[in-house]
Order: sequence, then structure tokens, then C-alpha cells
Amino acid sequence: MASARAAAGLVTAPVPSASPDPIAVVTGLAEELSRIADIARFGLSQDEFIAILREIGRKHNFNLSSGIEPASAQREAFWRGLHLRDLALAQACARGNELAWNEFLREFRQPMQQAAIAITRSSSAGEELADSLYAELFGLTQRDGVRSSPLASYSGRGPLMGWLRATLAQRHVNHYRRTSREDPLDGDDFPARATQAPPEPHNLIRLSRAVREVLSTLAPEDRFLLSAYFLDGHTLLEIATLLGVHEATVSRRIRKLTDTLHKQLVRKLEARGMSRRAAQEALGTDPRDLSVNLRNLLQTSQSSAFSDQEAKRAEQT
Amino acid sequence: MTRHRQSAAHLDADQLNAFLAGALSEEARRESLAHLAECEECRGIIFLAQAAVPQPTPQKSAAKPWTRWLPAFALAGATAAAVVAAVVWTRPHPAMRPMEPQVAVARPPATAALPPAQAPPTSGPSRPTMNAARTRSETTRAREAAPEQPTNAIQQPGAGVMGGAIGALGAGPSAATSSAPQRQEATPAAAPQTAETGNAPGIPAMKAARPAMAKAAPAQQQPAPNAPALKDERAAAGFGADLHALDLKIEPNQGSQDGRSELKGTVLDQSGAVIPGAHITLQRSADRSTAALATSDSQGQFTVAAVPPGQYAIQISAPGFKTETRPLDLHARDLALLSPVLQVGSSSQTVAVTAAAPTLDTSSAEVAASSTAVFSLPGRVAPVQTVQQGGRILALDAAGTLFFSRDAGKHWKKVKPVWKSAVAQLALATQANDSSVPANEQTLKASGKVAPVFQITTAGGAVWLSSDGLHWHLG
Repeated sequence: MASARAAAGLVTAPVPSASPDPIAVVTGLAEELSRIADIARFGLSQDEFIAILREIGRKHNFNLSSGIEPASAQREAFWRGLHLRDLALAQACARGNELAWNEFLREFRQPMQQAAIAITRSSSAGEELADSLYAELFGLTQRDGVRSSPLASYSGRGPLMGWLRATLAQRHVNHYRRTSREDPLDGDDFPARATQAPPEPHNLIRLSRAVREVLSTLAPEDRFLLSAYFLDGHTLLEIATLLGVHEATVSRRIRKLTDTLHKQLVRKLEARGMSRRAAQEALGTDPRDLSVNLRNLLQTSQSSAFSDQEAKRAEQT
Repeated sequence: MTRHRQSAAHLDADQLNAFLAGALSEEARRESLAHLAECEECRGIIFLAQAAVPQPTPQKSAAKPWTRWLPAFALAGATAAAVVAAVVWTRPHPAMRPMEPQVAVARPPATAALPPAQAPPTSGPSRPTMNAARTRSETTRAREAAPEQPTNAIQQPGAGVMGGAIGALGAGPSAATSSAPQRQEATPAAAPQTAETGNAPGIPAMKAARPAMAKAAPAQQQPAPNAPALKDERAAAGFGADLHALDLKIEPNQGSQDGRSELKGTVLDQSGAVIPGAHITLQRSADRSTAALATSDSQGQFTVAAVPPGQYAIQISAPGFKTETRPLDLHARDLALLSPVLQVGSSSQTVAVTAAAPTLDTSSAEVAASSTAVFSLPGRVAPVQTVQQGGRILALDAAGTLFFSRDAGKHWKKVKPVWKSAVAQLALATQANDSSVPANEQTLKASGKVAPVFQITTAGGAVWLSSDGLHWHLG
């Protein structure tokens, strides 16, 4: 489990010896961060908390690109940008502090239940999901004789409630997959419609290669847009909210993307020796059919179809 | 089709959370998006997590671009309509003149020359807006006509009495400045009935009106069927409220379809701030029994629906303000729009005028006045709690949002909450009040910190301190 792995990593990963202890240099900062996080209330010592902060900073390289050595101001900005109080609370809960658990319960039990109900769309299933996660968070699972709680993996980047929602969604999807392995998630996934006349096998190969090439040139965000909109059938509003942009922006970009894709695919197919008409037919002249075809192709293509490396390899072949 | 592919490393909850919170670096975000694009499961999780976020105003982001401007268009339209109406009212309108013959029935010498055909008995004077127009635009004539107005008032007490002042208030600041003389004119209209029944409270305006009333007495004898209206007027005078303070407009045939009338309005203070929690009482003029009760909401608005047509006295009271009362004649399907402006009054005054209002909290009148009347927060919301230190004010609205002003309430800045739970209490920090401040301050200054001035306590019991009202730290 990813969170458990992260939890283990949090404890065992060594601090790079090359970099001097950044917090020790600025003594006031350590005190201030501890005070903001209200660690005394949750029974955390300042040393413990600073060790946690240092580890989180190291793990995410202070939100800098890998390989860049963070300056002290960048470190400070990263730590200050964390949800320190939530972090202290989560870490104290993971360590089994009673007061912290009481606080956690008081603050998050109700919202957790509401979020679980929203995720499962059922009050009974929601309550069950929230309760099971609560038990898991409490650390009922033993790992080498030590109680481990997924809360230890919370890094304070984003509010604790957001982390809880993401964890609830994760558990729900896992549970769903366990209990109904062959069923699609309701509304989120549906089988691709078969095209009326399946293209010839050699045309299919050309098509899938052309699609792979075209998609590989897209930015990650564009690929995400296509997948979320065409494969999952999410609404423009849902996608816009997730990406923090306006609905109209998403709509515009998707329209532009499909237009570009259509043109590029036709061009690629033509370059591979298909006549323009055959290319249009393979894709479907109606732009709405394009999405259907795309879905078909995307669903059956390899998972690495999106990755740049694969695209390069395809280019070479 | 079943799930077909999963890449090795899924995004964990922490990564998903950081993605949703926008806390990832550009590089990490791209990586996450690349994974999300190809991993159906993680996409499902992140959309589920996103869907579980409580949306207080889901309409906002869902609105199509053009619909966002609708309120602005509506506001612009309303403003334009108000300006046009004001211009029309402030100009002497020839079409208004024919109303006078009806007035002239009581005074044949003054108006006999006007053709009676121009005076349909059911038109004109029954609507306050028209009265307002005349009173405002023809100040001098109205003064002459003052004794005649009882005829009007009798036919439509709600309209006749209040017309001038209401029009003045409704027409905006420029008209309001000229409202003083009109009040004098409007008051005599109310006065005759008061005097006729022998009820003469010690209100200067009433005394001033008496001579006019004496002349008007014969006129009142004529329309006998409207006798209850006299009681109504007397009731209004008896309450002795500031009659000009209640802005009234009646829109005929706009009320509910079942033949009943409706009352709507917004209670304001003199500064234009809304007054939430004001009590609105509608009394039947006939027997002084209460017909309806309402309380203004957080926006100061109130609605009294399904009121049977009849004559009423409406009384508006709020702690810390003078109670306002006025008569109101409602016809079937009338929609009465009120914008009562309450004046800050001391508790003793309030008690004297509204002995009949048992809900009045006289003990807290001063406090309420200082907290609700003086400041209004952005959006014209009255604060529920304030603390002040010099010109710096910290205010909490009913929704739990904290605002800060450093210029005694002229401009407000929303305080970004760094606390999790709702703000429960505002206070001045103890150091600021403490007599041992100097020593404290010295030590604080030595450590490079400024003494906290403001203090809030959250519902969770956490105490936050701030020296400038905007930057907060845990106490």
C-alpha cells in the first residue's frame, strides 16, 4: 500500500548528511513553526516535529525540481506553506496520542462521514466506509509489532480533510474493485461502442500507431483532459473544478484538441499510404465518431501509449 | 469492458491531496497529470475525492458566462428605471393636475374652475407615488392645499399621509435634502384626525399642524364610509413615530393571486446598513389586534404574505432604534414595498414610544446600537460582534467571516482565516488593556515582536492573537 510505504519511508529514510541542518541554523523558525502547529497540545516534542518537517522537505525536495539544492528561504517558504497544524495533528494521531485523537474525532469525524456518503452516494455505505477508514487510521493494522497508521503519510501539502477525502475515495475504489472485479464503476466507465464496420487489421495497426504518435506529442494536461472527458465521461464542470480553471476553458481546449487530433491523424494516415478518403473513413467523418474511435483505440492500446519514451521508440521503429 | 491496465506506482492519497490543493511544483504536477491521463483508477479516485468536497455555492462556477452578468444588468436596469422615475416625479407633470379636483371637493372656491371630468374618483390619490410627486414638485401649492388633504387621507390613509416624505426618500439623496419642508406638509394631513378625536400627543409637528386641521374638519364629515381610516390615522399619530422614516410604495395587482395583499421590505438604519432581527408587527386598525408578525432576516429583509385587504398599522422596532409606526391601507392584491429607515434612539425614548412592544430589549439597546448601527460590512451586512481599538475595528458577520478595518469602518478587509473552526468570540488582547503593558511591550519589542492588540477565540477553544488585525498567530 502506497501510504504504508510512505509511512515506513518517513521513519527510516536517512537525512542527507551533506546538507547542514537548516532548521538548527534558524532557531527562531523551529520555534515558530512548532508554535503555529500547536505541537504542545498534541504531545509532540519540537525535535520530533522538526524531524518530520525535515523529512517531508527532503522527500519532496522542497517543491523544487529534482537536483536543485534548496536555498534556506525556499526551505522556509515550503515549510510555511504546509498545513502545519493539520500535520502535527495527523502525526500525533499516528503516534497514538489520546488528546490528538480526541481532537481529530471532534474535528473530522462528521466531515469524514459526509465525504464518505458523498463518495459512495449512500448513507449506509458511506458510514461503513468512514468507520472502516477510521479504524484503519487508528492503527489497528500491525506492522512488525508496531501499530501503523496511514495518517503518518500525510505531508501537510493540502488540508488534512482533503487527504481524508482522497483516502476515502481510494478505499472506496479498492473496495469496489475487490467486491465487483468485473463490473465497471457506475457512470465512470463504460464499454466502448463497437464501430459499425471494424477496419481492416492492417488499417487498425496504422491507426493505432498514428494515434500513439499523435497522442505522444500532447502535453500531460491535454492527455488528462482527453482521458477524463472521453474515456471517463466526466463533465466539463468536474474537470474544470479539478484543474482549477473555468468550464469554458476546458470546453475550448477539448474542442481545439479534437480538431487538431483529427487533422493530425488524417495527415499521419495519409503519410502511411492511406488515401485521404480511407483515412477519413477509418476515423469516421463525423467528428462525434472520432471520439468513439479514439475511445476504442485508447482503451485497447498499451498503458505506455501515453508515455513519451514509448512514443520515441515508436518513432524510431 | 473491464479494467485493463494499471501502471506500477499509483498516486497516493497525499499526492492526490497535494494535486487537488495546488501544492505541487510544476514538475510534480505534470508527472501527476501524466499518470492520471493513463491511469483510470487514479482518475476515478481523484474525481471522487473532488466530488466529495462540499460546495457551498455550486451555481457560481456552473453558471454560463453571460448569466454571471444578469444581476449587473438587472441592477443597471433598476437604476435606470429609478432615475427615469425620479425625473418624472420631480417635474411638474400635467397629467397629475387633474387629481386636484378630487381634493377640491372639500374646497369649492379653490378648485371649482377645474373640469370635474378630469377627476375620476378612483384614480390618482389612492396611490402614494402620485401623491409623492405632487407634494414634492409643487411645494407651495401643496402648502395651500394642506387643509384639503384630509379628503385624500381618508380615502387612502396609507397613501395620503406619507406621500411626500416617501417620495423624497425614494428619490435618493438629492430629494432627501429637500424633504424637510415636505414633512411639514405631510404631517398636517395626518394631524386632523388626531385632533378630531382629541388625541394630541406632545409632538411638535402635530401642534404645528393644528390650525390646518381645524379648517379641514368640515371636509372630513363628507366621506362617512371611511371612518375606520380615521382611527388608523389616529393610531399612527398616537404612536408618535417619525412618520417620514418609513418609505412605502404600493404596487397594485402585484400581490398574490388569491386576492390577498403582500408586504415586503428591507429595514435599514440611517447609514443605510441593514438591520437584521427587527420586529415587524401588523396591527388591524379596527381593533388593534395583531394581524401578522415578522422578523427581518440577516439581510434586513422581511415578507408578510397573505394579508387580507384592510386597514392596518405597521410597526417596526429593533433593539437600539426608535420604533416606527405608520398606517397602511391594503387593497386586494396590493404589494406594499417598504424601506423603513430606523433612527438610533436611546432606550428610554424607545420605551416611551413603544410601550406596547414587549419584545424590545431595552437593556441592551445601547450595545446593539453601537454594534449594528455604526458599521456595515461589505455587502451591507451588519456585524454580529465587533471590537474596536482606536480607528481599528475587527468585526464578525453572521456567516462567521472576520473583517478588519483600519479607518473606523469606512473600508473593510476580509481576514483570511488561518484557524480551522469558526470564530466564536472577539476581544482586545489582554496585553493591550493591561496596565502592565510597558514592561510587556519592552520585552516583546526586544524580541522583535509587536504586542498583540486583537484576540479571537475559535469554537474549538483556540486563542489567536494579532497586532494588526490581519496576521494572526496562536496565543
